[in-house]
Order: sequence, then structure tokens, then C-alpha cells
Amino acid sequence: MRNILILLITAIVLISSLVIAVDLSSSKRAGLENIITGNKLFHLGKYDQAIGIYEQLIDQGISDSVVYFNLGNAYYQQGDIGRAMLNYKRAKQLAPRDSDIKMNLEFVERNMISNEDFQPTASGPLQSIANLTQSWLTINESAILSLALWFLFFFLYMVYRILNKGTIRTSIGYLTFLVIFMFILIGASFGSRIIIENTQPDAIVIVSEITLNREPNFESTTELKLKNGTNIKLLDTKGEWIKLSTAGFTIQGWVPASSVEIVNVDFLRT
Amino acid sequence: MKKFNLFLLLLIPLVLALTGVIPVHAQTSPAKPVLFAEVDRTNISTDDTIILTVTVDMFEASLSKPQMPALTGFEVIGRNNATQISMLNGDMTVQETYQYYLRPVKTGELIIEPITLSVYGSTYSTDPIVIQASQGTGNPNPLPQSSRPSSPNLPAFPNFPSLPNFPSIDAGIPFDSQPMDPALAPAELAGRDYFLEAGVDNLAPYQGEQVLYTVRFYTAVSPINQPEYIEPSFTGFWHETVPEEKYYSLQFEKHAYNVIELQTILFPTVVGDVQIPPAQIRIPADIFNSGGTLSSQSLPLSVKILPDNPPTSFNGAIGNFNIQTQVDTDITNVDEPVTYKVLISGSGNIENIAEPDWNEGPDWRSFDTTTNSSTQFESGDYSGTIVFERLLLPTRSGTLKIPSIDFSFFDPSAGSYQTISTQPIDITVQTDGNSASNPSNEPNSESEVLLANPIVELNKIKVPSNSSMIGNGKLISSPIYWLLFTIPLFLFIGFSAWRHYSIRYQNDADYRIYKGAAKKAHRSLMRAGRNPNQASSSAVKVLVYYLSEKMNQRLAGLTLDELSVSLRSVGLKDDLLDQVQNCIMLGEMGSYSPDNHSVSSKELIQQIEDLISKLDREL
Repeated sequence: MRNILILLITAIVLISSLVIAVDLSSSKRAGLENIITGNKLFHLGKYDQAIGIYEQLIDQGISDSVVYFNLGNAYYQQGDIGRAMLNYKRAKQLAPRDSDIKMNLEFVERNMISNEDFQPTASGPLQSIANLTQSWLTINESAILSLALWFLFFFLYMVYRILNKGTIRTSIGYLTFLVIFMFILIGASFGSRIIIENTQPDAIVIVSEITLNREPNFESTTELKLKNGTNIKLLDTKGEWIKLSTAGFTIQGWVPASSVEIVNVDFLRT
Repeated sequence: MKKFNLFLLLLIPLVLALTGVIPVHAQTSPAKPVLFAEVDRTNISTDDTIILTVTVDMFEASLSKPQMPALTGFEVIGRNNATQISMLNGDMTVQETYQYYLRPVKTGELIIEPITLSVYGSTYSTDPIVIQASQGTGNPNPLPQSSRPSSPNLPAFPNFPSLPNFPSIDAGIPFDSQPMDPALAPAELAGRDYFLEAGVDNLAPYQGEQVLYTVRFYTAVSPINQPEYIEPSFTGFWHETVPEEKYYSLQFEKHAYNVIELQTILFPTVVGDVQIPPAQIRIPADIFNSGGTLSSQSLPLSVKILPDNPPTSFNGAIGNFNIQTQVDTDITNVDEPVTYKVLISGSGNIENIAEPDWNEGPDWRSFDTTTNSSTQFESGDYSGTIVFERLLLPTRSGTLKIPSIDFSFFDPSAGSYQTISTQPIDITVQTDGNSASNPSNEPNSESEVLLANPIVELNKIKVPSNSSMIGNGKLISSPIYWLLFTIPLFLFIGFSAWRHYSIRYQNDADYRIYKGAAKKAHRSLMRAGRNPNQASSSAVKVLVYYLSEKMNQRLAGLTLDELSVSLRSVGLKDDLLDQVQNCIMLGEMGSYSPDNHSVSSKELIQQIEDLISKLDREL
């Protein structure tokens, strides 16, 4: 009886903690009216004004994949491929399972004038681990799932300790192992994503063309040029300059910071 | 002998050839003068101007400049200089040319004395030039245009163009400049080659009223090097420089002047006495001038405060304005925006006009306003138009009104506030599905919206859905999230401690007894209290039995002294020991003479209960 009480209390505490975590993840959602206004302007071909509405919502702190998706479409209609891709990627960060976002992003990537010097190469081990969850979980979902698995592992362990030897205890033991294994996997992927976003965040070239420099100045230009919409990794910053590389880190160089924009919206807001 | 004849045969033609070349070369390349001076004419009247041109060969003269003689009988009314490069038969010549515009100030024979040039110890000089000057009518002819210097000896090759004239102040002045009324010229100008004056059109403006600040630079003698204008600091004013300069020609007391006029629009931002410091012109030194700085006068203004009790819609507009409104459509649908423009035009501080007070009411939702303005300066007046553009979204169907807007401004010419209003605008708002525009593109629900061509994915527009519990807020940057990971650890520590206690309690009987002694004692005391006759003795027995269980010793049957020794041996404090002894004695007294007992059994039981609680903490 006492054991059941203890387990019950433990479950209540853990579930309450999870609820707190879910509550912490809440964000300002876009009001339907505002979105529809922007959409109406899009319908009428007033892409500039539609962009203004969507950008205004983002400036107000709204973090909604729908806003970024629609904004990406508006920029595409205006011919700004770089910003279209940027906003599609941001939308995908916030809703990785959305098929429309995925389709539009692939469409733009396929039809973009490719930059032969900057084809993405094989990614590092950290990126491979991050990729485990990147395509189907947002960063917050990974965070909540990691926490839930951690709580579940502990709860199962408590049950295991309380139970007497028998089939049920053995089964609980196996389940505990499985849960800890999943926690390590999801946790590692989640941790990798955090590390990558803070040390090598993804970015997009938003100007029509930019020349790579060896040093953070205009006197050390190279022959390499980056086209609008090229995916890059941001490695370092120095004043008004940023150091970037291709996905496989084969080519690195410096460009003015104003010519690229970081994809991660959380990074922008911190 | 034959060899000598051969030698002569070769030598003579050679000598002849050399003697032929030198004269030919001498003919085609005459000696270049290092310094040369000429005038365009030698017979003039006192109304006329002659051009004295001094030419210097730069290769020969190096950096030396000619020394000009004192000019008696003439006044210098203009200067110019140029450099010319030319090539002939492989010889390059670079010439520096100085031109002087001279007007005779007396009649008769006037002599321009020799001009000299010293180069590395050698001195070159020109011949004196004689001018015959006759009496004129007293109306000086206008200044001739500055001309490209003549080059008497060497034509310019097409592939060796001449360098342009060096810039000078009158080279930039168009010679079709307007004549200026001499009455407007300041009296202080008389006898001066340069003069600078400044003025405003209103010395007592209202705060925010337009004031025109004018600077005029008079030049009788053009400096070789470009002067520098230093604008005064307009502290206490918002100002806008008029981009176009004006040029005038002025005849004043027999002198001809070129006048450059610069204007600045000022709007006083402070009230009271405000001083505009002097404007300045810095004239660099040249071979004729030592240079210097000219200053205009400073201008004291007395800025008046606006009258009290402005209208509620007054937002700082000063001038004379009118207002109108426009919409892009007067028929729309619910949630389809209308572009609403307010245009304010007129003269005054147009750039500083604030947004009007929007009062669309509950029928409209509005978005941020964009502002555009255009201004111009014409006939001393600064005017323009400012447009405020706003998106309005109707919130219901029907005939909705965009209310009128009141706009107030202060008119300095009238000295009072004026308020003008727009007319309200009626907009017909239809419900969805009765679109006035192309119906094939209009959505008919609030779910996902597809445009006419759904195959083209990039036209797809989404609306938000609240299906996800987990939001996109800043979760991982919150320290509370990371603290939540520690909750299982604390729970685990608590669980482990409880498990340890539980197991020991089950397996260790002595431990069980030790832990349960106080509880058992309290239960026993409650039972003892139900029997008042034996309550005291029972209470003492409970106390002794409790101590036995706690110390795991048999204490019943010991004397008080023996009990005290045992208790002292486990480290019991003296005060608690005294309380134990006291309770036992009271208990025994109560059991032997209950009527004479100073403490009732109930009180004794309470004392023992309290004592057991204290002992349980200590032991």
C-alpha cells in the first residue's frame, strides 16, 4: 500500500514537471485575422504589403510556421529566392513534419541556380546525430521528449526496485533498459542540435551574389562567389564580417555579415 | 694618297650634311620664350577692359612664378589662368598662362611695366606695353568672358589635348546671370573687392514659422583659388538648405561685381532671443592676395511663442495647409483591406507634420501607417506634400464610414489657429462570396486556401491551426527546463532513504522497537488517563517502560538513583534527568496519597507525554 502511494506521488510530481515544461514551450501564435489579412493581400498580388503584414507579425514575437511559410511564398513571388528559402527553412524548423513546407523547400532548392563550388558534402558525426530527430521533431519537441524519457526511466527504475523478483520485475527491467537507450539516442540528437545551432548555425545568402574573402576585409578577395539562396554554415564573427563554410567545411571564407541571414529563429531572438 | 682622297670624299659630304641640318633644325624650332606678355588691344576707352596675357614656359621656368609690376593707371577687375600642353616635331611644350582683365582709371598713355621671372639666377623680363586710354561715357562695359589663352607659336596636337582651365569662382558663374538692383547692395560694399552679407526675411517669427536666411557673397576681383563657404551653426533651428545657388551681376559705384546668393530655410525650435552666428568665406592666398576670412553680421532673432489654447487636433503644424483624403476602392469585402491616404499640402514645416489623429472606430481594424513626403523651394517659399497611408480592414459588412479627420495648424500670417476637416468616406463592405473583384480567386472558407492554380505549390497559403500542444517558445533557454531534469534525482534520493529505512524497520526488531517506543508510550498514556485511580502509577510505568525500550535495557525495578545512573550513562542531559526523576516522584506520591497530591493525574500524564517527546528527540 505504501509503495503504491509512493509511486503515485512520484508520478504526480513527474507529470506536473512535464506540464510545466510544456507550458514553458508555449509561444505567441498568429491570430487568424492577421494571417488572413496577409493572405488576402497575397491573393490580390500585393506581395509587398503581404510581406509587410507577415514581417510585422514576426516582429511582434509571433513564432508560427504558417507565417514563415506564407512569407516564403510571398518572397518567392517577388523573385527573392534567398529570403524565400530562408523563410521556408524557418517554417520547417517550427513544423518539420509539414509536407507543404517540405515540398516548397525542395521545389525552390531544385530550381535554384546551383552554385557548383558549394555543393553540400558529407556532414560530420555531430550533424548525423542531430539528423536523427531534425526531420520529424522540432527542437522543443526533442526537449520535451528527452525530459519525458528521463522521467519515465526513473519511474520504471523505482517500480523495478519496489517489485519483488518475478516475471513482472524482469519485464520492467527490460523496459527500463529500452527507455534509457531511447533517452540516450534522443538526448544525444537533441544535444547535438543545440551544439550545432550555437557553434555552426545554418544561414542563407540573401544578396544576389557575394565574393568570398580570405580575411575579414575587402583586400583579400578570392575567385569564389556565392549566389543568392546558397546554404552555408556560420563559423565565426568579427565586427561586420562573418566566417562561413560549406556543409562539409571544404571551403571557408569571410563575407560581410549583412549578406547572409541565420535560419534559426531562436538564435535570432536570444 | 688614295686613302686620303677617299677620306676627303667621305668627309666633305658629311660636313655639308651637318651644316645643312642645323640651319633646317633651327628654322623649324625657333627659340621658345620663357616669358611672354601681350594685350588684346592697345587703344581703349575708360569704359573698356583689356586682357593682359602672361605666358610662362613651365619646362624652362620650373616652379618660378612671374613677378608682376605695380599697375598704375589701371584697376584689375578679373583674373584667370590655364595650362596648355602641345607638341610639334617631337618637342613638347607646357605653358602656364595668366590673364588679367584691366580697366583704365585715367586717360592718356598708360604703361604696363616689364614683368619679370627669375629662374636659377637668370632673370627674364617682358617689354613694357603701352596703352592709349581715352575718356569713356562713364558706363563700364560688361566683363568679357574668360577665354582660352592664345598660343602664338605652337598649335595643339589632337592627341595632346589642352588641360582645362583651373577652377575659379567666376569660372563657375554663368555669364547670363541676372542683373541685381544696385539699391539692394549694402553701402559697406563701396571700395571693397570682396564682401559678405547675411539676412533673414523675418526677425520676429513664431516658433516653428518658416524663416528664409540669405547669404550674398560679392566679388569684384575673382580669387584664383576657390573660396570656402562656412555655414553658421543653426542651433535652435531645424534647417534645410536650398540646393540651387543664384548668381547676379551688379554695377555698384563704377565697379562690377559678381554676386553669389545662398539660401537656407529655418524653422525655430526654441522661443525667445536666438542669435544666428556669422557666416564666413575663407579665401585662400594666391600670388595677388594674402588670403583671409570674411564674416557676415550675426543676426539676432526674437522667436515668439504660439498663442495659448490651441485646438485639440493641433500637432505642431505651422504654415498654411490644406488636407484631402483618398481610398483605393469604395467597394470591398469583409477582411479585405482598403488603402486609405491622407494628403496634407501647403507651405510651412511640412516635414515635421505628425500623423493625424486616426479615429476609425470599431468598424475598422488598422495597421501601421507609412509616410512619404516631397518638398520644393519656390519663390522664397518652402512647400510640399506629405502623405500618410494606412491599411484599413472592415470588421463587418454593410455601408461603413471612414470618419472625417480634423487637422489644425497655426497660420503665422493670420496670427491664429485654423482647423480644417476632411469629408467622411462611405465604403460598401460585402460579405465573403459576393466579391466585387475576380470571384474565381476568392476563398470561401477559413480553412486552407488555395488559389486558382493549386498545382503551383508556391501559391499555396496556410492559416494557423492550434493542433500542437508543444509551442515554439524559448524552452531550452529557460533555466527552469534544465532544473526539471534534477527532480528525479531528488526523488531518487528520497526514495532510497525511504527504502533504507523501510528495510531496516522490517529486518531489525530492536530498531523497530526503538523507533516505535514513543508511539507506543503515547498510546499507553491515553489508556492510563481513562482510569483516574491508577493514572499516576500507570503513567510512571509507561515512562519507565519507554526508557527501557529506548535504551534496550530492563529498567523496571531499579531505584531512582540506579535509574538516574543508567540514564546518565547514555548521555541524557541533567535537565531531562531531573524531569524524569520529578515525574517518577510525583507519580509515586500520587499513587500513595492521591487526595493530597499537588499535581493531578491528568497534569502528570501531560507532563510525561511532553517529557517522552523531548526524550525521543534526545535519545
